[in-house]
Amino acid sequence: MSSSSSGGCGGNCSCNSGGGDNSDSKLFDRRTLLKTTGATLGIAAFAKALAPLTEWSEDLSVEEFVQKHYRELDDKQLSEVIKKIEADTKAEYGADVTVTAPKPQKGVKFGYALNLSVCVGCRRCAEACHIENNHDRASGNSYIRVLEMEKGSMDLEHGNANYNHPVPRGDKFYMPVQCQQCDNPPCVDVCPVEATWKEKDGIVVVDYNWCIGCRYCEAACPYHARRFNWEKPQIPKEEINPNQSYLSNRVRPQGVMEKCTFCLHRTRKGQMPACLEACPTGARVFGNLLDPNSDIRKVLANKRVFVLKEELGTKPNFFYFFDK
Amino acid sequence: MNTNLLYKTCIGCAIALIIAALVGGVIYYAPEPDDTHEYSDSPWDPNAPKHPVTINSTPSLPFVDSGRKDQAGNPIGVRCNTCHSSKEPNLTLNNGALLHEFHQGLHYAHGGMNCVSCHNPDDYESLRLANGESIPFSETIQLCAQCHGTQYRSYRDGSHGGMTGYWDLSKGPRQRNTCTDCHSAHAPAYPKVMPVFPPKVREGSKLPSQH
Repeated sequence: MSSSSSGGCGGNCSCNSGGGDNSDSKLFDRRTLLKTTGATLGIAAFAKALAPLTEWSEDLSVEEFVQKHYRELDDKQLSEVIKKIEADTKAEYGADVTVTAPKPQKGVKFGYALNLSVCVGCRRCAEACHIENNHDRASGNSYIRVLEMEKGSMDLEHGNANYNHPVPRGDKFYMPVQCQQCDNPPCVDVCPVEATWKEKDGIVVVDYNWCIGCRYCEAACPYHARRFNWEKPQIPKEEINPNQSYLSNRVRPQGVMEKCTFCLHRTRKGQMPACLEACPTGARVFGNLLDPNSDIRKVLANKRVFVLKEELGTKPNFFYFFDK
Repeated sequence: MNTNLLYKTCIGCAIALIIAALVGGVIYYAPEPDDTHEYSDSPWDPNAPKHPVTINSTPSLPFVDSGRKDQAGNPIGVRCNTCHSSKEPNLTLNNGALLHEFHQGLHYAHGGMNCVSCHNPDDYESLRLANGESIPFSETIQLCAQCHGTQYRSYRDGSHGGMTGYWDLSKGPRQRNTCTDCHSAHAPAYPKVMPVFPPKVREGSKLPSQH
C-alpha cells in the first residue's frame, strides 16, 4: 500500500491516473475543491435563510414582527396593538371600526345545538356569517357549510355543499356544519407555534398575528371547519362590520387561518351569534352549558342529541338533533 | 471489583431516587396555575335581573281585504263583523272556493278541519278553543298549541321558532317569532324557498349541482 507519485490509487485496480489529471489537481486539489464548494453552499444557505428579510414588505411592520403572543400581551401592549389594527383597517379599507378584546366570563361555557328536523337548507346562516365576520367578498367565504344529505345517511363526505335548487327537497335533509368548538381539539394539538388554542369559555380561537399559515390545523380538523386566507380579503368599505374583536371578526391578513368563533365579539357580550339570528326556522339553539335553566341545557335534557364523528373523541360542543 | 461496582450502583440508584422524589414532590405540590387573567372581571351571575323575552304580536283585530283602494292607493280593509255579524254561520264549510264573495282565493291545507274549528262563529273577530273558550287573535299560540303540543313544548324550551337578541337576558332582551310569523294559519307547511348565498364557482372546481 505505497502511495504512488503517479496520482493513482496505488492498487491493482484500473482507475484512471493520467499525467494531465495530476497537474490539474495541484490547482484544484480535492481539499480546496471541497472547501470552496462547502463555503459556497454555506453562503448560499445563509443568504437563503435571510431571504425573508429582503422580501420585507410594507404589509408587515416592525411592531407586528416583534409583537408578543396574544396571551402574553399586557393591557397596555394589547391596546396599542388594537389601535394599530384599527388604524390599518382605516388606511387599507377606509372604514372606521372598533376592535375589542372581550374575555371569557367565569361561569359561561358556550354550547350550540341544531335541529335537523326543521332546517330547510336556505343557507341564511352561511350568508349572515359571511357578512358578520368580514369575509372576503370575492371568494364568498363563510364559516358555515350547509350540506345536503341523503335521508338515512350521516356520511359527511357525501354531503353536497353546492346545491342550488328550491329547498327543502323531500328526499334530503340539510346539515349546516361549522366549528364544533371541541373540548379535545385536534387542530390545537397540531399547531406548531401555538397560534390557536381553546379559551376558558370553550371557544377555539386563532391569533391571526401569530399564525404562520402552515394549514396543519385545516388538515387536522375532521369537520372541515377551518379556512385559509389565500388572498387579502376584499370588502367594500360600506360593507365592513365595524363591531370587531381581535380574536374573531377583524379583517384577517393574507396567509393566515381563520375559523368560526361562535361570534365571540357578540356572544361574550350576551348576544346571540349572527347565524342564529338569521335562521328563519329557529333550527339553532345557543346558550350557556353551565346554566341549568338555559335553552341549550333544555335541548340536551329533552332531545336525543348526537355529535358528529363522536368516534374520533374530539368532544364537540355542537350538538345535532331530530325532532322525530 | 464486583463489590465496588455494586456499591457504586447502589449509591447511583439512591441519588436517582432522591432526585425523582424531589422533582415528583415539586410537581405534585405545585400550585394550580393562576388563570384569573384569562377571565373577564365580571363572572356570569345567574341571579342578575333579567330583561324580558317578547313574543312578536299578532294583530288583535284582523281585517279582510275588500279589493278596493282608498285615494292614497292603500287597500281598504273590512272588519270581520261587518259581514259576519248579520250572516248565518256555515258550520260545515272548509273551503274558501265554495263561497260567492270574500275568501274565495284562500288556500286551505291544514288537516281535515272546518273554518269554525278555529274561528268563533259567535264572534268572528275572535278565535275559539276546542273547549269552547273564546280567545282574541293575539293569543293565536294557545290555539295552535291545542294540537301541536310537541312543537309548543319545544317552543317554550327555546328550540323551535326563530329569535333575535340576547342569550344572556341579564345583558339585554330577546325577541321571539310567533307561530304565524313563519306558518300561514290556513296552509301551515313551511314553503319551499330558493337558497340564498349560492356557492361561488372557482376555476377548476365542480359546477354546482342543479338537482
